[in-house]
Amino acid sequence: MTYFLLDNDTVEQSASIVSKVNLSSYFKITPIQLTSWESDLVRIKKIFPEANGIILDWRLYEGHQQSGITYSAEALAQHIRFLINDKQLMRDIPVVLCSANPDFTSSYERDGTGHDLFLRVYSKDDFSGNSEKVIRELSVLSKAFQQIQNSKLSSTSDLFQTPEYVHIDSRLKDELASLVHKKIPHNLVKFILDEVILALGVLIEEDTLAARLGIDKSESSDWPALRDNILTPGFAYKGILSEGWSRYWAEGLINWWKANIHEKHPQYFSAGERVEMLKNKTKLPNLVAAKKLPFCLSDEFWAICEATRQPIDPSDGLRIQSNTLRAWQEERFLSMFSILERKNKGFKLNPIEKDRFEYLKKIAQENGKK
Amino acid sequence: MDDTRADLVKQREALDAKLEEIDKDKVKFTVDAGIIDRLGRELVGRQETAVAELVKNAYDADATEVILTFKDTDVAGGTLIIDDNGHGMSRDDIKNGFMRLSSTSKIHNPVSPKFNRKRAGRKGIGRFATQRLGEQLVITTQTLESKTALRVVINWNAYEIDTDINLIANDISEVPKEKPYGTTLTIAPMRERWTHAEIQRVFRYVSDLLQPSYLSDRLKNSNVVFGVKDEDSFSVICQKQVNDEIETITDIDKSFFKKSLAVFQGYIDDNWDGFCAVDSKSLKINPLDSLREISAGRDKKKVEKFKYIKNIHFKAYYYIYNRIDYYLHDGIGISSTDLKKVNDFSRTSSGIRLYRNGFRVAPYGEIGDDWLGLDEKVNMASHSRRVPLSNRNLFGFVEIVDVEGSLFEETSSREGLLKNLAFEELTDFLAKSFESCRNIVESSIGFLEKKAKREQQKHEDKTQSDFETIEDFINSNEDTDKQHANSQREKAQKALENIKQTLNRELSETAMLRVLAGIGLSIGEFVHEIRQFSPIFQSEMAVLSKYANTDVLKNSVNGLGKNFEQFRTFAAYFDETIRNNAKRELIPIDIRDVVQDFLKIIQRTAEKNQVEILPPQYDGYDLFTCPMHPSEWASILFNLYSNANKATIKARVKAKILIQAKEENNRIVFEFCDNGTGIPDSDKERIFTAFFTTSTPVGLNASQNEELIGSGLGLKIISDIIESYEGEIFVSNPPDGFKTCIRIELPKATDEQIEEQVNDDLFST
Repeated sequence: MTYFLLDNDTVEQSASIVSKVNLSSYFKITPIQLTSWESDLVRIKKIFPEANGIILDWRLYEGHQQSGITYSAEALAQHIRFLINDKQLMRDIPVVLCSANPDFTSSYERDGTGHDLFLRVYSKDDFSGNSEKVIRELSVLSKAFQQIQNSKLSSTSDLFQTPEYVHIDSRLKDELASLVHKKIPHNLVKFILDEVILALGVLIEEDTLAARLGIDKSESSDWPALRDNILTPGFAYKGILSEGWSRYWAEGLINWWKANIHEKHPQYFSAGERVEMLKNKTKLPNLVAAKKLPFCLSDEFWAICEATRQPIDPSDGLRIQSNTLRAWQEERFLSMFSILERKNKGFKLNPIEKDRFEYLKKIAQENGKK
Repeated sequence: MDDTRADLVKQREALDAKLEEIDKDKVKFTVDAGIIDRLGRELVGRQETAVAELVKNAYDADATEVILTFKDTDVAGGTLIIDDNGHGMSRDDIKNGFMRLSSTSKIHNPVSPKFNRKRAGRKGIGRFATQRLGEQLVITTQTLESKTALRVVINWNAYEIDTDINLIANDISEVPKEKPYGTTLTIAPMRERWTHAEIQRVFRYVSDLLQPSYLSDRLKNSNVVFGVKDEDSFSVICQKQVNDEIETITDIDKSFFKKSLAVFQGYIDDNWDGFCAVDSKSLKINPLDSLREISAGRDKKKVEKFKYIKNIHFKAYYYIYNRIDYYLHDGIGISSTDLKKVNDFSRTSSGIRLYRNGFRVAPYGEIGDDWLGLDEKVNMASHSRRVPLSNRNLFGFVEIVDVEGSLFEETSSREGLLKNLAFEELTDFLAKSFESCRNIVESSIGFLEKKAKREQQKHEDKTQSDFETIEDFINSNEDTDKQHANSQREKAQKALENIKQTLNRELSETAMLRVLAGIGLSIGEFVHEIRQFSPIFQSEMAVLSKYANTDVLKNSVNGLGKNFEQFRTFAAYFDETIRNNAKRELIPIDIRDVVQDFLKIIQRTAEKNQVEILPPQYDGYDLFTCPMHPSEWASILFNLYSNANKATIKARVKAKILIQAKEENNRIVFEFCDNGTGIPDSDKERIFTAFFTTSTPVGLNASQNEELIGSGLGLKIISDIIESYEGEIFVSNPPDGFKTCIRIELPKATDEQIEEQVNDDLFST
């Protein structure tokens, strides 16, 4: 599997950056130095048949004036989309963005108009650092594009391998059906990735899973056993992109709990009660109940504080700012503790929480002084 | 007894019914007991007004002392005791005065019998204030003539809605006297809790009720003794009692008023002419020279008389907080600590208050009330930053004598005066006077600064004259007189020596700073450039490690990888710091932020050097300093860390570092402690001066880098940074287990700055 890295750096420089990735036996990144619009398009057309994906450097025209690149990554990506839809390029492949610029995230996020063009955004440090993750994600994306174009997946349950007990929200079903019908892999994959897999609601990731079971992951030596031998076989998500992002069916958890642990919904119980029941039923003694974060009142955990990744009850949490949530998505939260201890870098609150934040802060400060 | 009472009530009801029968054609007002609750809660809005009303009552009763005791009021349900030594009440006073709503006794007798005090209370609000404060009121009162004291117990909860007020009776009994005369009110259980700060606020409010001193002879000599405060004639003591411990709440020591930068005074005399003047020893302004006439009109060419008001006086103490250098430095002048205290104090009680016939008129001069439009002007661009004139800079009061109440009318809500022509003229006079006083101060400061400049010039002239001496000597070579030539030579040598010394001192400091600045720039470039190599290094190392086929090679690549990772975090930290600095924007700094960032990068180095950095200890949240450059904290923390590291190596101990931060008196206190060699007393002051170092001097052939590390400029630079924000850095007492504690105090960001920063961090996108 080969991705092409289109960059304004020399091929030697780029090759060094991706040399760790290229240690992989089945995944390769081939760097290409871009020079000018016309000749670059010719080259892209040439490499396209053998490409499984494209990685674009974000600020193409920055730094290397002598390279003569006068266009942006967004412009090139948009043109590639045009060539695909115009059938000048015969198939669709994933296009992702990368950058070595530390200011990248803030500048890129300021203007969202070009975000639809890229499936994912990586920093160049990702290639040298956590390269296994990058390889896993990129190859899964490419595989998903192939599956869709081979018309293997034609319904929601084909895409998601939805277990019987899971009820997919009808609005999600409708949107998916329309995207499946249009058959543009980029749009379909981008939607599934952003709105289902990376969002919270239909699926949950490991930290939220532990929170809903009331478990403190780091203190529980039996957590890997519970996860790998019981939870994963029970209700892990196995549909499209699941090999790139490990997720669990939110409904699967409740279903499993009711069938195996207690007939009542787990939210009826405190973390301590949930863990006691789990220990009894699973015969895994080394599970530890998560404790309340300071300034929290409840231990009927259901969510996590995104900054500390610790379990919280949503009633204790402050909602994080998000663009409009879709019907099937759930809110994410910050804990008062993480904010007061200034551990919440990079997270903003929903403006609607302002009054409540000020109220809770006042209480916290008064309690702190005692 | 109860039976007879019930019988009598029945009889009364029967009589009432008969009367009604007779008065068939008439209707009467009746009063529901619920009115008491109405009056208490709605007439007396704030806690402090409630207490103030009770203090006014004591004043009206010719008391010379009132003791307020807040007993166990940290939670609701405590007790408030108000104990005065006034003339007390007779049974008749209680019945027809206190217990009769809207009684007219104070209106009939506006002046108190013993001290001829003009009575402050008129509205009969005081008793309802007690209802506002607590559920039950016990009055114990005795007069000089009486043999026993009277005790009345009023249970406010009995005054429920839908009860006839006539039917609620309160017990009155005779009890032994507790003192010769006076009244004690015991209110319990209190409806709300009273924190220390709230009690202090009430106390401050109550002690400001009376005008602080006479300004005009007219007020002083008038037949009626007005409410002017005289410590001998009336004082309020405030105590907080928890269990059996009594703490006296003290007012802030106002003696610092004597040390203000300037005193502004002014008046409109009997002939309708307005004047103002400034008195300032610090700025060498005397009131006679600075006397200015204030015109009522707008025409700048002529001075107009005032039309509506006369016999107005004002006095205000003026401070500029950030310029301690303006104040006298001869021991009489204010110290920088005192100036800070005044600054803190100004947050809660600065401004210009208005006293009418000796009594404070709310809300003028309360915090947030800008009745003279001073703060509004400060916000205008044209306002002088050097000599600011906001309410915060002033502590003052205006005295109005208006016995008949004909000039200034109180509004019906009794909050403030009607904005009539007289009032307009008053604010106009005051605003003009203050502006005039400010101009006098400004010109005087300008003059003093010019003078200081001339002194500096003199210093430079001295060097200049040294040069001239040398020049003379060179010229004198042609001098034939040998003796004269010799004396010229000696003079010249001396002058040369002087110049050398001055020059050396200044050059070595600036040279070192220039070198450091240059290196700073290069480091900036460097850390930026190396960032792009970092993924390359990492990737290539991964390749190396895959093909490393011997253990030696593998270990070596591993070690390389780990060290490189540390290098990378360092570079990223500095890159971030420098990029932040490029913005050149000052922001309030939360100590937690800078310490967290710093610890992230230093942790590994510390582990390698076996330095244990204990988890930082914070007391309180929102520990924001005044706006600073984020990079300045990088300098501070790196410097303190490297000093601590050196000291612990020297001491050959298992190194420990503790970082603590908290808020104290509106300043952010930051402490950096280590268990190294400690700092001898003799060095405690000197370590912050340039070139002080405990490092062993480097050899002659040391590289420039080595020379810089032990240069002894580190603490000097950070102390310069801190002082530029009016902070302090000094060696403080270390906690147990530590030898050195460097303490930094910086002004805390204002509440508005903190709010803005927190909102920016949390809500803006």
